[in-house]
Amino acid sequence: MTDPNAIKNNPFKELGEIPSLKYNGEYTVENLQVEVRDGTKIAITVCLPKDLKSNEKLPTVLIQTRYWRAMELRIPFRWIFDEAVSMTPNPDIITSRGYAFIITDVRGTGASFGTRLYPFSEEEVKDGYDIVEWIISQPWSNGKIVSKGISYTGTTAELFAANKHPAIKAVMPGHGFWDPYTDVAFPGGVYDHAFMELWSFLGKNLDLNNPKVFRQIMPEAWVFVRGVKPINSDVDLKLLERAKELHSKNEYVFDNTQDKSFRDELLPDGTGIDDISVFRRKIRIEESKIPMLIWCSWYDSGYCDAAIHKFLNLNNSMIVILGDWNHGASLPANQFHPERLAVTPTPRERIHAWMNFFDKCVFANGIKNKILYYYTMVEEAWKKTTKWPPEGSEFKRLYFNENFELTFSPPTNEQGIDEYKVNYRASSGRNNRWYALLGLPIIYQDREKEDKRLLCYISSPFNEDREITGQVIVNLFVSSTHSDGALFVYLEDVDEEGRVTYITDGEFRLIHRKVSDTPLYKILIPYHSYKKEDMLPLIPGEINEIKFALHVTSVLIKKGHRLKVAIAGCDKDTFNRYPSEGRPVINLARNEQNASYIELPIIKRRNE
Amino acid sequence: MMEEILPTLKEKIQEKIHIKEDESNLSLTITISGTLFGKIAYLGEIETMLVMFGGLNRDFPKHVSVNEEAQTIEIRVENQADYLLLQTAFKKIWDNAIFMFSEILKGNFDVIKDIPEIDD
Repeated sequence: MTDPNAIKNNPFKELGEIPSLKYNGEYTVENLQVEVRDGTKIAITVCLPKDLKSNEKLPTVLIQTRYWRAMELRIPFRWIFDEAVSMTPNPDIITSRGYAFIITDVRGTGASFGTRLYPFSEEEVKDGYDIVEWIISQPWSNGKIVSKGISYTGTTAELFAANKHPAIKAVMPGHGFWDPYTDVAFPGGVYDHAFMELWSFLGKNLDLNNPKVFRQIMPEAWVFVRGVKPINSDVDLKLLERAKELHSKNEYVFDNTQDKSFRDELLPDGTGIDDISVFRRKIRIEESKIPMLIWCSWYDSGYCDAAIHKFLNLNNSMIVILGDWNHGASLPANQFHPERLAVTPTPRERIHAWMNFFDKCVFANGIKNKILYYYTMVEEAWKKTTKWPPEGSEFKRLYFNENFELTFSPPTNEQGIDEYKVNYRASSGRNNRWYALLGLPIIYQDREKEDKRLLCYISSPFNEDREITGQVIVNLFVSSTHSDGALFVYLEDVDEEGRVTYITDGEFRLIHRKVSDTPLYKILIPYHSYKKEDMLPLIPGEINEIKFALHVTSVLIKKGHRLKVAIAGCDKDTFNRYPSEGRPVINLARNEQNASYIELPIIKRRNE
Repeated sequence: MMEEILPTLKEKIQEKIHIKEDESNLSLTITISGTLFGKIAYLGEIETMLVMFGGLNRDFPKHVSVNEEAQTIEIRVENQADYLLLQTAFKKIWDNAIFMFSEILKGNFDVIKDIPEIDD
């Protein structure tokens, strides 16, 4: 959670105070179906201010979700609350700000018809265009629409812009991917089987309207929720049954990716993983000229890197915000402040800030240019920049050296090598940045115990405060007894008492080590294609240079603290094991000829 | 933001849900006042509610009649012993529902561990 006293450059403050509310927050709820261009019926929930007068017209906030647009509550809760009470955000905030609030089940999910082979298909994106046409034809619509969301709904909001409909005035994708291969499914080419399997399990059960799944993964929802909300006219639930029949033909990402390794391996119907990315729709998003508010967290999977890639690659005017909360900002996640129990700003305050952004785009002149706000942990301060990396950024190398030390000067010995037999019990736990995609809290705890299984190096105490902002580059010279393998590198802060705190980490599968000079998009780190044609198995016993980056972060290393790098060969609770059999011995070279190092993106202080 | 509804849950239950007991008839009638947000009860939902929140762990014959227009549900049983079970369940059902929900929001999932499988 960000420090509530961090006022300077605070994006939530800069977006403005909460204005006087236009309506009293009470709303009407209607559930209906809209038929899109190919006859598929999309279920939508429409919330309007209860005190809306007949001649008044409103802009609309649209969310398109695969997680049940509205829930049928169990009795007795249904006797008291309407289905919108389970929505996030609650419609009372949005309607009180003078917007209609519409949420849809994307095709193949919830109470919508259709079948889906994979998420974020072109058909799903185009449905957004048809929904816009329906909205602007309604008597209460002023013809202007904005879209927002977190995670899946963040990406649907972003891809909504690719429709280039003139009615769309702004989008607010929160915590979404840019490149699904590297940001979530195969970070560093390593398969995140835990999330992919759990997410597919959740999706399948939601699509079959099976609330049983909640009992295991979200008990509070299980107590409260009976299933997806049918549309109002579906009194005998026949439409819901029909939807469920169609969904039984859905396919799920885990089934279609668990046996894959490469970016160019195909999904059903010949689609590639890049085809469902945001970067593949870059040109259309840019042509829309729709302003964007993109927000995320340092601790969110690979989505933190996605926020940076959007800032670098899209020419839309935008605000980007990177904080220290969990996926979706429902919980604090700053590992340096585990005592903080509530997130700042509160969800309600945050939604009002987002509505202020929408007001600028709907009722005023929008936003100009690009600005990125980022929160530096330990310093507990917000900063803002119009370029990335920020002004004053320079790389400083820390070399792996004798006695498991990290030094700013390179090694001078001729033979230095450290051996590490991969420990396949190594784990970053089930509350890491990847499980966080399911909304779980992020807790890395004191890493000292886990580091005992790893190959670790530590620096001397820093002689002054140093800000690290950006992506740490890892450059290792390694050999292995096996032709395949993976490295997991953790960057940690060690305080004067020896407490080890997780900062960030990165993972990389060694067969992808070929560095390419033709990236798919602008990128500031060593680029790997992850294509089959570029696969380079290791030759056992031969030293190879391995370069990759850790996930982006911003942290202040205090004077007297040390930096630690801990290297693993697996993360058993999250990622696939490589190789699938055997136990490699890795030799890390740290000598004059093969000097392994990390490069820290240090921000120079003003007087340097 | 489900936490936000907790403080008003008990008050709303008392406002909207009224129970009338008729021992001579071995029946109990629930009336929901005000606006109803969807169907009053689907087939099997009353039984599910009684198991989840009323703590009923014994199945016994009951006849459930739902009147959507009048917003009433009548539950009739066949004997005095079953009537007492039903009455007892309804005495604690709302407090149990609130307690269970609030405990789960705090992260205490033990409160549901003894509930049998109730979903289709």
